[in-house]
Amino acid sequence: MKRSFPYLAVIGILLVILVITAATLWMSAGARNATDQAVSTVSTFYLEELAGRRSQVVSRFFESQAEQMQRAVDLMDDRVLSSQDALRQYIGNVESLYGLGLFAVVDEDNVVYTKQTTYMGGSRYEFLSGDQAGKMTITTSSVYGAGKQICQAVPIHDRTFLGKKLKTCFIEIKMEDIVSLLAFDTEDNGTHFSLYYRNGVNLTGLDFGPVGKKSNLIQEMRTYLTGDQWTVLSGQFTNEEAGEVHFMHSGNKQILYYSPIPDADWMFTVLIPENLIYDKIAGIKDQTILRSTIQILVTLLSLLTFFFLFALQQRRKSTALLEQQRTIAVRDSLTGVGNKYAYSQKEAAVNAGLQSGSASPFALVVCDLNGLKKVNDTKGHDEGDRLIRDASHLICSLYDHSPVYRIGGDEFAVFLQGADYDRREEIFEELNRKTDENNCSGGPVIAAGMADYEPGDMQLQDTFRRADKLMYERKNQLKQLKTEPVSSEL
Amino acid sequence: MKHRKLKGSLILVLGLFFLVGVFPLPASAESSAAKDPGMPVHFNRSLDGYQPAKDHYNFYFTYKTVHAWWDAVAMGMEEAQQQYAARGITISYEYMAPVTASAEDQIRRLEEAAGGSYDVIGVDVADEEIITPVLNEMAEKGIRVMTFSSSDAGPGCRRIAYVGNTHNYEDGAQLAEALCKKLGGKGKIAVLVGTHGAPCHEDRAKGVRDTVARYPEMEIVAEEYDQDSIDLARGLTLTILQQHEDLAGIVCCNMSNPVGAARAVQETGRSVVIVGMDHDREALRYLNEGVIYCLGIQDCFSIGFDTVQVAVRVADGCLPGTLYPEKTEEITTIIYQEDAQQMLELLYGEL
Repeated sequence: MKRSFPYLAVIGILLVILVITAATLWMSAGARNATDQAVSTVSTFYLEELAGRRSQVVSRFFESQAEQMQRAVDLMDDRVLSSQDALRQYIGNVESLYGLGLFAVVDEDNVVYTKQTTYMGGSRYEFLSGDQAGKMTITTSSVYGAGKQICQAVPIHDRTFLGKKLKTCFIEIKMEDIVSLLAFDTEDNGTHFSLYYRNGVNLTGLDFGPVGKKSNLIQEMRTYLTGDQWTVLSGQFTNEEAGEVHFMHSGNKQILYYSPIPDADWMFTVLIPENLIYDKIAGIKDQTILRSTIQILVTLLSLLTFFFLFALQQRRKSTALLEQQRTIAVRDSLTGVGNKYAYSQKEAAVNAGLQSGSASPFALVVCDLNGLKKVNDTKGHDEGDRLIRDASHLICSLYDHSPVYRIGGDEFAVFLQGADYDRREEIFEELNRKTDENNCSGGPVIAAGMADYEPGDMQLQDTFRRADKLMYERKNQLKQLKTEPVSSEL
Repeated sequence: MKHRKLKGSLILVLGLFFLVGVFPLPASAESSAAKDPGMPVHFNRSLDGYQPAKDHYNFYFTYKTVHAWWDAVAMGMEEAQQQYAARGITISYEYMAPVTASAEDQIRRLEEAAGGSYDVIGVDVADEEIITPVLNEMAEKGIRVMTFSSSDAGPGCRRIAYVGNTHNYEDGAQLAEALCKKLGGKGKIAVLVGTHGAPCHEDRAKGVRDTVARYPEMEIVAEEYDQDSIDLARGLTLTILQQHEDLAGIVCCNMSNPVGAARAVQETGRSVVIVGMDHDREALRYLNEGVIYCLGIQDCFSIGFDTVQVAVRVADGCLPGTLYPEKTEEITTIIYQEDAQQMLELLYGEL
């Protein structure tokens, strides 16, 4: 029973550790799978959000510009349209008011009127040659060294200037302004963005990762995509539909997302390496796993501490119980002195010492309480017990350095060694004196006989017999002393 | 004594500053200093140190026909306009042309402009025989007239100055020479010209004829005018190709010629060497693909830029001489297939 408890505790702890370890591994594996799924989901969500918002920003920019142009046209009155100077001044005011780079109106012969210049626009602006009447147009053109220019035009109705109908007005927008609307922090993180025509030509000239600045996106993607993927991509570009493709480049998975810009024949494109998102999420995952691991370790440590304390407490309890049981086994429950069993143990130990010749000199006092039966019979057992306790108390108070044993109902034995042994005669006399007093006054009357160990004693019993004999002699003596005064009184 | 010397030095330095400000270097010298001789077109132009007399100028420019070539000239004008604006000087102008080249239309425009309040009227002469007398008449009335672009007025014209191509004959000769050498000095060729009477086109055509004449085994079998129309140039080329199955080459004297000719040659799948003028985007693409052998690129940007610079001086009453030459010469560079991509990127941002 004593040994099974630690084994069970160890097995229990090992089981707990095993379960916790298994749970930790399961949780880690689960976290990894969840991360992979999250990366895919977040990538799509992130890119959709990114592209969607940027497309909206550009679209709103164009809407805002169109509203401003329309307002400017609405405010053109007869005074403005009375002369070229008045019109130029008005155009200048509109540019200042709305912060426009270039605002121009065009008549039916494609004569373009700006703040300071009047010129022929038919060959310069593609949107003037096509049938664009009645709707807003956004076109790009590359005019002889001027870079790519974006022209946003809105139609003009019911306005006549110098006898000719005005057909449209437009503003020129710098590509840098559009790029700045689209820009986000891509520094060193591998993300690329750009605008592409529907035919795959890069509109902004921005570097687009593995596609580069100059290559046609659609053509370049042939090298990265499967036939089916490429067909979907090119179809979505042609039809101005948003889409997403995944491909490998330099060992990294890349995600290309594209979204049409409303009112313009452009596709906003974002290219992002998946490991970028993975790294971001992996950081969160690692933190979560670390936190969980710490939590598990703390739990494990707490459990171990709990087990240790529990085991310690159990050990203490069992030791105390054992001690208690041992005490109960050797102590007389009524008087608190050693019982018969304790005396037999002491006897065995003394005998062993005698046999080995290692025993120190000792003496034995054998005591017998007189009158116990009479008290029990006349005053009850409680009073008898009290008398026994008083007798024990008297013996113990005198022999305070020696073990006292109750070896029978009214018999005690005191094993003398050390200081009590040295003073044995003195103490014994005191005991007899007390007994004599009690014999007269009514306290416990103890008949005692003391015998020293003698070299011929082979065992304690030999000494005991001599002391016991002397005790009986004293007992008889005390009986006589007790009887004589009574007889004289009678 | 020391103070006197110092004072004298200061006066000398200030005097030099004054002279440089009022009498800057001649335009031709300044231009050459600002231009990279290796580049066919110079976009990094800056105004010289001339200080205009007024803070506002109003010009009228008219040219042969609505065409991308003159849009390129307009880009140079706009750059000069912006640089003057940065100096607080407003330049306003009209830059007008008919949809189809017409000397009569040009006369009408000049007459209207003469009645306006323009500081200078600039003309890209549509037909030197017809327009030169009109310009002289305007000059007699005290109207300040200059010519620009690729076509000057006829000899003896009283226009004040000219900015543009002064070597059209040489350009034609250079193109013809390149073709003749490519063909090994023998073969039948056709010549496509632009507008009848347009000095630049006619001069180039003459340069072509004279050069080909020096090659006894070469023969010009056809010469046609496309009226600056690409469609017409294509149609004329198809006809010529049909009529001359052994045609070996075509010389194109304007901007629309090479585009129309290349389209026709590509359509028919014939092997014909095409040489031509100017920087049309489609022509540059044909050059890049090898359909066109070489192109003569004029620095249109500088033509426009210098036209405005000279117009300001003319408006201030300055006559050609120290401040600017009577003819501001702009360069033409012959480019080949290996140069095409760079040119497409430079002019059109085509990557």
